[in-house]
Amino acid sequence: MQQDVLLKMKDITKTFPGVRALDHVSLELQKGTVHALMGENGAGKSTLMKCLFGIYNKDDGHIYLEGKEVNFKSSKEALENGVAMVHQELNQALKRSVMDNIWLGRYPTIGGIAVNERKMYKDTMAVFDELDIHVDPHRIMSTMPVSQRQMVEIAKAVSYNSKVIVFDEPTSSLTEEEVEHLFRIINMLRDRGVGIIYISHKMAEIKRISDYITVMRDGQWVATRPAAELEMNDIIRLMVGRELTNQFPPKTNQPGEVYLKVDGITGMYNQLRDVSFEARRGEIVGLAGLDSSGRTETLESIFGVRTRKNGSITLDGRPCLNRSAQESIKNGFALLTEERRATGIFGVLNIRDNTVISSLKRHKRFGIYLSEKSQREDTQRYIDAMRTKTPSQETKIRSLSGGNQQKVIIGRWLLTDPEVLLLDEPTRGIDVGAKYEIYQLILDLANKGKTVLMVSSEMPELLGICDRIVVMSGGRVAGEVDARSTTQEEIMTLAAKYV
Amino acid sequence: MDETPQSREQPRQLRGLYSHVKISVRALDTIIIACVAVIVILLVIDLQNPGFTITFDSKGGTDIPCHNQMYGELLELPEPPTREGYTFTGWYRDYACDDLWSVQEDTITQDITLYAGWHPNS
Amino acid sequence: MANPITTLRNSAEEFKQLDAKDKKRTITDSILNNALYILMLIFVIYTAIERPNFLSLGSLANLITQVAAYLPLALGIGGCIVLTGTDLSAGRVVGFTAALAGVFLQKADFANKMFSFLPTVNIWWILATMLIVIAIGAVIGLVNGFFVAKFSLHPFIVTLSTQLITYGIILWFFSLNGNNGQPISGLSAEYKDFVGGTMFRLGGVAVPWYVLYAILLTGLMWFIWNKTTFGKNMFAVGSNAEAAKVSGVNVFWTTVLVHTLAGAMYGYSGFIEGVRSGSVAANTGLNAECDAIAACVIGGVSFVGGTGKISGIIMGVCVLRLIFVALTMLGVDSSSLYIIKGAIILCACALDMRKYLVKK
Repeated sequence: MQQDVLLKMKDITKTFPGVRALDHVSLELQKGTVHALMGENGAGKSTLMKCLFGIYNKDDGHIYLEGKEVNFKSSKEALENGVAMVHQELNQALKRSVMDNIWLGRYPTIGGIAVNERKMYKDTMAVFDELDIHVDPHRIMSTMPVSQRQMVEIAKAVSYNSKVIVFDEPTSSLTEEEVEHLFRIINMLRDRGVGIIYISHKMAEIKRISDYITVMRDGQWVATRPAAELEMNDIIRLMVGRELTNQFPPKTNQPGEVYLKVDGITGMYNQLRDVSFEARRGEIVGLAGLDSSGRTETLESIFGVRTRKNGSITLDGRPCLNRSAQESIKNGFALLTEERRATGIFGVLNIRDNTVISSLKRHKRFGIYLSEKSQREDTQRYIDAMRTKTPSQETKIRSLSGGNQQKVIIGRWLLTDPEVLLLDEPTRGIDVGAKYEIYQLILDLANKGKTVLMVSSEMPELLGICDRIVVMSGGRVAGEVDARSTTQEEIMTLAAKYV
Repeated sequence: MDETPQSREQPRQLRGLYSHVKISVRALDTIIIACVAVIVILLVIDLQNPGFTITFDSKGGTDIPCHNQMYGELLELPEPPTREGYTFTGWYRDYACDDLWSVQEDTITQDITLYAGWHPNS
Repeated sequence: MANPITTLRNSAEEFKQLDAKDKKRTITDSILNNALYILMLIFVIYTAIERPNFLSLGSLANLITQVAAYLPLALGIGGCIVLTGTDLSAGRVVGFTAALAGVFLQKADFANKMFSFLPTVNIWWILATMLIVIAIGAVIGLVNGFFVAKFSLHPFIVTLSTQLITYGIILWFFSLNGNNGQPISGLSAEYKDFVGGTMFRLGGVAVPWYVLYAILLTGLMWFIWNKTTFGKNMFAVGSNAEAAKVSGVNVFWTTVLVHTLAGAMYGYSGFIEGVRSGSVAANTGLNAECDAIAACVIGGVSFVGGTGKISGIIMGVCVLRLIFVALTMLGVDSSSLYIIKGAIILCACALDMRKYLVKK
């Protein structure tokens, strides 16, 4: 048994500032098996794989490939040692032909100078025949559908004689027929003794294809079992099974009359279709769903940073156009974005500048001059109110922890006096203690009669502080549930409705 | 946890104009040292033969060779040029002969071309 | 903020506690990070030894005058760099506005006066000319800003094309009215006095009035950068344009205005440059943007975006001018000066990146 172990990851630990992303995670992959890796968003699956491929440096732990310790510096090095990955987002030279992509960086040559096109073509066809892929090696990548490009990626992995192939959500853009083809290829690879790590959210697929299932949760290893022993419900229980004790402050808000109405929002450049729901004063509405189910797009469409094709927004009976962020802020909306680093913080600016940027009008004197004193006061008020831990107002926000950065940005929005708060993953990348404070803050806001729309991938969080949860799936509203009476299983089922 | 926080061993992603630059500190050090070396070598070579070139454009008169002078010195006047049918009126900074170079006051501060002024003999 | 002496003492303490290897690294780091300043110091010391009159009040006056002439341009470009862009059209805009100012303010009795219908020069006409050339600079900046903001074109491309277009207009302008590309000279005495007249003397060397204007302009820019909504928005857009958009900053107008303001600065520089060079040729202002960009980068206005201070730009201009004044006094060939300038810009960019990469 032991010599059949192809890849062994032992006690992998990875800490990001304020967050332990991986906590002594171990994984063993046998020869000729498909090993499914499951877990909620943010459970640490991707981080674990990034540690394997050297995209992140692990803090601790060892990786053994066929008994020898390895420590890849880059995915290229991993590939050369027979460890390949088929990515969610394909990383290809789109303007080049299929065979160029496969042999990129190791073109067969004649005399070391001229590229041997004929050998390249022959070798490509040999791999394609083996995998039963029907693609012309001369075709330009960008002219092919994503599914075929993925096949090319797999062929590339095979052409390197890979011993281990990692599939990260491979079926998310495939049709049923293509999925069948993919599974045939995976089965064939398994029969040849390749070890396969298969990451997916789709239970049915996992049950069909995998031999072993490892479940992760909160950066920790939870269980590894033979797939035959696990039923779908067992997997879900393992994935979400955490106790909900004292993680959340007591709910005290009292929803009032209907305040915000969102009617038939359809996106111009995204998958949103006919999204409608209502929210009351003092109510916290959660938006649940899988990645790319359209939750973020919904918030951004309401706020006007994404273009809507159709649909209307009504606030307190008054229609709001919300064509741009400026207009939405004027109408009393505030949006806390999902990607704090990309669209939230101004990294090189200090905390004061980060706090006051959306409410500069408050500090204007004589129509032009900005009062330093009033900026300082406002900033200090919110540093105190939210217990932001910072040496001074002049500290660059980049040097704060995730939780404190988030508090600064929430402060920025509260200074604009919003009536509707759109919070996108407000607790992402924040440690548990700070999470509690942010929950408390959200509840306080609801108590003051503000309407809160909150997107989160952490279901316990939604169940813990929301009043109502709108579940989205494939860009549509799949259903609405009462947060008090629903279960994670019910939400999961709804979330998979239009996948 | 899907975000990619910076950790110590991971190179920080450059932003702005450098957002596509992937470069190691060692390479940057090489560039810095190379630049400084270029500057120093140039200076050493240049200082072997310092000074500014004064070029004379006699505008049709006899040719006057250019010469080198140091910063802050008064102009060393060459032999005045001659031209058939004209009288030499002095050296000017501009071609239109509007701005006369004052031999007693003006000092050399840079490479300069001086233009001869001519007055037709009546 | 702790006072500088304690900070210094603390860092000295920290330094003592490091082991030998770390000590060595810290020293190399600080030498490399301050390479340009060290280089400047060596120049200055060497020059002072070789040419004793380098350390005179007169050469201080000379330095101040030069800094005042180059500062407005750097202040304008600084804004573009804060937005992670740059502006390559600056030099040509200076040339164009200098030519305009020169033509507007030629001596009434000058034989080669280009437009004889222009009014005789008095103080009001000088001020009007100044406003006109500033406005024309601003319009060119506006065009730059519009294309950068509206079509998300890279400033390099946009300003490169305005640079060429402006040069075309300059050449065309110089051949108007039978001028045939001759430099514009015969500037009126009033104009020369207004800009380059002696404000006071320092060590026998005249300090012109435009030093005062540069000081006023710097004050104005400091106010705009630090005390207005526009300034705050500029830094926000430079630091993270996406976040700025979500935070309700009008990214489009901010970008347009930054470039317009820069253009106005070039217009003003052109107004000064006309007098400084005595006569305006088609090549006046050529490559002026290189000096300005180098000064900004040396002064800590990073291409990373969103960082930079007016004081840094002043510092950068001073360092660059000091180096060049020293080199001129030493009598270094002007062709080598270009190579040195290029090396300094490259070096400053590498330093800029290095600071960002090495920082803890």
